[in-house]
Amino acid sequence: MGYEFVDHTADVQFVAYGKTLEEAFENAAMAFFDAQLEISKVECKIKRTIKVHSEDRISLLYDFLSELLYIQDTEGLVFSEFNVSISGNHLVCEMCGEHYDINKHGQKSPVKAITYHNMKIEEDNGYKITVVLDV
Amino acid sequence: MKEIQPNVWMFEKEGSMCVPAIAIASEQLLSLMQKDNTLTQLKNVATLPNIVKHSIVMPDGHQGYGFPIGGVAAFPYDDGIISPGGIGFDINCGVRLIKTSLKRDEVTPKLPRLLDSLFKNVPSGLGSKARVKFSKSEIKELLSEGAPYVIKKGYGWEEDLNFMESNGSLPGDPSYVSDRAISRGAPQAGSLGAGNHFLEVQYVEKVYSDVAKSFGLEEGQVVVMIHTGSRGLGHQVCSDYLRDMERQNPDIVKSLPDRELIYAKLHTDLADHYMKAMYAAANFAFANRQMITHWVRQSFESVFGSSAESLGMSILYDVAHNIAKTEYHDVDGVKKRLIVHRKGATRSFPAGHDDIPNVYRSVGQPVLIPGSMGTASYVLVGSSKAMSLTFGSTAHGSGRVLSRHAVIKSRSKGTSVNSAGIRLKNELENKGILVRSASMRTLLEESPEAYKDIDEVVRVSHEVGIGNLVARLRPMGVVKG
Repeated sequence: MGYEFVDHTADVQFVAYGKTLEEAFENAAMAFFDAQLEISKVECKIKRTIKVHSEDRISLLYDFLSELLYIQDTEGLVFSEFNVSISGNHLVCEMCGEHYDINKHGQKSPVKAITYHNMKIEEDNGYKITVVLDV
Repeated sequence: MKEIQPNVWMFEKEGSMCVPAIAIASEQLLSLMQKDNTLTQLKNVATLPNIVKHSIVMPDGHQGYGFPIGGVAAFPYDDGIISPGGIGFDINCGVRLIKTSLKRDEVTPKLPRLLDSLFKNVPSGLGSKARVKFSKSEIKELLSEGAPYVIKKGYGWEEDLNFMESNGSLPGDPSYVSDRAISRGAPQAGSLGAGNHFLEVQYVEKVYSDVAKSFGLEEGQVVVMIHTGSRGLGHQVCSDYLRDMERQNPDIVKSLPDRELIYAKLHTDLADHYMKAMYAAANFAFANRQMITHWVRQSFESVFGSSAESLGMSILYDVAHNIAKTEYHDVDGVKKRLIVHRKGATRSFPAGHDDIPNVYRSVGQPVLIPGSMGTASYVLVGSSKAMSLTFGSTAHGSGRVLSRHAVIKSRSKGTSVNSAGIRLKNELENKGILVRSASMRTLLEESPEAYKDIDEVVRVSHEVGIGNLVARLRPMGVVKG
């Protein structure tokens, strides 16, 4: 299972899984966009590479998702393919997507901010990431 | 926990709490607060250094990040703190009410056209493009000045400024707002956003007191409510400073019961910079509501064929729901300068207070409380009881009780989300409420049953006396993002 949404009264909470930390981050990115729109309708037309450096692993996750939100808000781009590599507290993500179009991609719950609330990266036979999105 | 007066519950100091905590709620509302972490968060706030008198949660309180939504806390100006989590991500999320001289019967036949025009004129929904492109230097001016800047640019009337909290302008400084926040904000100035934000055409269904006359409200009159905030810009400012405060104060993070209560001591560089950035974001929100006001007036002008002036479209008031401000309050008989944090709470100043417009000074400040989609909204008036009990604050809305997922699941049983959305739209139309929405799914997520009973929230505010009933507004038409 890549990721699943967990019930949360006011906002959106998801859990993303991965055999590796990289895969868990990729699934977290999928969940981030799936929370907001029909991710299956997002085609690979535009490529972007982002680099993030943070002081620890949790902040790396927070900063990575914040970067996705930033690109979405400022360039109107949404993504459905991710290739993450992580070395220490450095992350590089190559991703592919297209310009958001409400008629094509629909609208679920637009994300306003990433939160640290309940944010977790757990290691147990693979990786499990928990994130709450402010929507 | 004990009920120290009807609907006021006190939690004595325990553990690391510096002061007691107070919940303003009926038994019904209190039981909702007990279902999530609201009361734990309320007590967590009471552990913050130098907090004055008590931490408080309003009747519509629910779980937030760090502070509960509906949380109010005051700290001394001289040796207090400022906490971004006590203000919230959507800085100066707030409500504005525009009056008209039109009656419900005059608007009903033209309502579909009016809503189409509003939906077209006011950008809403995910990824909606603003109608106006501001350059970076223009955005910086807007952040320094707030509503006055966009009025100079032609969005609205000079006199509008008299009817806004802080006259639509706080001492913001864009030099402390990150480039990222400005880039996120630039395309969103003059847009409604999505989720619980809305634009509603309403009518005054019931008047409760003579104060309505002073506010220029009477039964049957049509008004327009705008509920939105500082969009991505405010969120980015909050996120940026939460991160900076955590990075620079690892010892404080360790001492806190919840890392999202992170704060900076007042009069440090970090606190000063955050305050200036937070006020810049607040200015963005004032300007945002001002631009939307202008387009609302234009829509009415085109549909009713007369000028907004002759349609009596002046602003009743504009209130901030997420903000921290320097105010003077009586603490144990001494007038003290405080920083009052309101996160999902409305300022509720009484008659005679210097900070309210002259025209309302003999009755008190208008308090605007939006309901959820399809339910009533209320106009209250500020009171002296609020000054003594809640640092001049009352509730701000209704607050979710059902998750988006839960409401979609129950509403779309045996059908698609889209057809469930259309069914809800028809349900509302049968009640006389027309809806224009960018997304059927968002519409569904905002179903009336997903929210607390607003009638109960304002009843408690009125009974405790922290904001007194003036008028009930009923929606006729809703524009949702």
